[in-house]
Amino acid sequence: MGRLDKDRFQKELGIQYCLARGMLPFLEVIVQNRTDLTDTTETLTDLDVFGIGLKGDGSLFRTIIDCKSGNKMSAMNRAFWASGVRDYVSADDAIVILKNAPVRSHRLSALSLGVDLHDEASFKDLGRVYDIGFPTKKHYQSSIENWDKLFEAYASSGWAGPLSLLVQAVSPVTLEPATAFRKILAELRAVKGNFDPKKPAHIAIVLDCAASSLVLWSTMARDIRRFYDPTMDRQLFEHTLRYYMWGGKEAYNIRQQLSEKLPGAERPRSVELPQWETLTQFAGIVVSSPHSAINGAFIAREAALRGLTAVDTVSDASANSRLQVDKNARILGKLLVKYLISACQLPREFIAATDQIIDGF
Amino acid sequence: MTEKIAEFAYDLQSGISSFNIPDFDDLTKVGMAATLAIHIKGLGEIKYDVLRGVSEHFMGVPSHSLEPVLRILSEIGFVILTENGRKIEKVSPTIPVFETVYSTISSFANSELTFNSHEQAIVEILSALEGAPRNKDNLFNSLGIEKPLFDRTMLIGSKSGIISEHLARGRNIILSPLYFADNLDGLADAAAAVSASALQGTLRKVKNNQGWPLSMVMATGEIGGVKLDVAEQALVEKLSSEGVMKPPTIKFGSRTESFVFTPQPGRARLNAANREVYERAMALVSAVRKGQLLPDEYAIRLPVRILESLREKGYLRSNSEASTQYLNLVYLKVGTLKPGANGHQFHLTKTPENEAALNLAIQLLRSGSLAGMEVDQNARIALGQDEKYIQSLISARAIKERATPIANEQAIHEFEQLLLRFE
Repeated sequence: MGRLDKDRFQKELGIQYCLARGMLPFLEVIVQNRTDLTDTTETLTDLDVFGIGLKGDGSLFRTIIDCKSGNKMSAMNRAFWASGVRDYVSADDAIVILKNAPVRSHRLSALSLGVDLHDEASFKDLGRVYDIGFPTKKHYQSSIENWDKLFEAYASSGWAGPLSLLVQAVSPVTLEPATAFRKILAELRAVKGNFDPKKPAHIAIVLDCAASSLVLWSTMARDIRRFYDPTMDRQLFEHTLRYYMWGGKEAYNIRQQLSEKLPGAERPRSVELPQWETLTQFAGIVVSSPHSAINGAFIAREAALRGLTAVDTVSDASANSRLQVDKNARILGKLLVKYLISACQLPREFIAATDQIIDGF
Repeated sequence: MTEKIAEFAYDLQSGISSFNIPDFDDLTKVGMAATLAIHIKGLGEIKYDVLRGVSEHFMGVPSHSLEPVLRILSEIGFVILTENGRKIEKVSPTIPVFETVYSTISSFANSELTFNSHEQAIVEILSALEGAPRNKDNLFNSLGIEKPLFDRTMLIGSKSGIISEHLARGRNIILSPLYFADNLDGLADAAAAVSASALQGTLRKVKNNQGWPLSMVMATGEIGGVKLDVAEQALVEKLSSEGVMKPPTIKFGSRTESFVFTPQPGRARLNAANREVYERAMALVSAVRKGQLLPDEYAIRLPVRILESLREKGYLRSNSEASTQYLNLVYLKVGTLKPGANGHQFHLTKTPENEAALNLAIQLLRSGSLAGMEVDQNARIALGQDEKYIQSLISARAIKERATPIANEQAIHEFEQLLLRFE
């Protein structure tokens, strides 16, 4: 039984709901402990569907969708559970899809906890508020079979386990995007020797990493926008960005001191993210359109799935119309993919391969 | 056993000299003999004590091994030993100038010495890695040796730094830093992308036409009249853009052009003291290739002849294109431009480095290969000095060595990974 086999239909509804609302869906997001106190990693629970969109001020809006086709637990109990999880992962709201219609008063009480209780029928009705044809398969991400293929791409590559955890579980929920981004870079660098641009699965992994990184950049771009002012020259911008990316001046200086003490280094090396020049360039571009990062993520995710499945004209057209609305999304997607490939020393052929898929929209 | 055994033994010796590996016996002696022979070729009588100091510190031949090695050389007829009782006092090199040191030592080794299985394995592996990186499993299958022996040899190789293993595109690629100096990861990736034999084939074509302009290779799809297929063209471009080949880029007037050379060899084949010579030679080849293939008006027909004429006469007749063509050589202090009847004349600045560079450039154009660049000139200078000089040199060097710790790329990479991951 695959990871997605339980409550498949409801999960697919959840994904389609996220897409109808213009959010980026994540599937089976594992919720981890704040700190590990045991040698083996214990997970807390998993979130069936996790949607990320933008609020008006540019910060992220996060939604949990919990699917329960069984009826072991009462509707209200699910609501209490969902409310707790929502707080734990700092999401903004939660929806629970149940098998049977919940009692009306329970639905109202649950709303006071910020949890929306639905059965399949009422959930579909809710979806129609955003998209008249709900539920439809308008995107590559709409169909759960395509997600199966993406998960399979990770699973069939034995080395991609830690990477998939970072990309699919840590990135969507983290409150420290710069740290998560650094970890993705480190992990990609650690497994770089396994990537083969001839394998569609590996291309999909690279694109999926780019999608999650762009979600992180969505928050980072908003932050950078706050410290950027138009009078800044490149040097000052770079200087500030460097402290931001390393988690502050103190964190950066500690690393710098560690690096200076490293035996074997001929001269003091300055601590820098890989391909720092390119990244500064990217930050300078993303800061002018922070709202486009999430659309870039959407395009990268669509591209990841597109490479694994047969080309679908409907999905291509939907992606294209999104690209028409946001003219920066495609270029941000491409630039970040290119940065990941050059910074993590993946074979250069990935650039052409990913560009080809992204340009297919 | 291969005819090039002395050459590989020399490579091995330069890589493992600071390690004590019990698996190797006669092969290390052959390596030391080759090292010693190429360094003393053409020198006069050397005091044994001077040779002992210099050989230990410049060539990695420990003083206790020097005597048996000298006895081998004396048996070959490369040296005459002046002895007082059991003690060697003086060494007189008697290596004819035309003698190729390696082949003579090889034939001696093949007839007089026997090599154990470890020695045979390492020589086989090095000869496989000389031309291009190889897929590890592929190499193991083609060698047909036992697994434990192969593993042990690989272990020795990677510990001593003469073989390095890279994971590229999910394949285990091995290569030898003795033969390649720059961007080993990129090279391994290239080997994984196309097959090792395709990479070797492409490098061979480049070797036969050293210094061909990159833009011409890309535009015409051939190098020196030899067709490169699409994959090979892509490979040449990949290797030069990723810094494996490092083509020297030279500005001629308003144009900039890169010239393709085979990857720079590692320290065993290109001694640090000769790097400058190598760079000047590449510049000389690039300059005449420019005249041959990208002339403004009049093309050079035989680039080798031009360089030979420069070697004979010391200057080149004035021509209208000289000022752009040879300007880079002026910057590198290879020569000077003087106004002549018809444009500028190019005059060679006669220093030993420039003459060596010119010889090497001619050789690069003739055979494509780099030979004789492994000799450490500093060692040869030291051999001509007296004992006091050697003593001061050695002590200065010993202090310097302690101050320069080994920069291990792997360790630095791991450290950077930790910094990135650290919360």
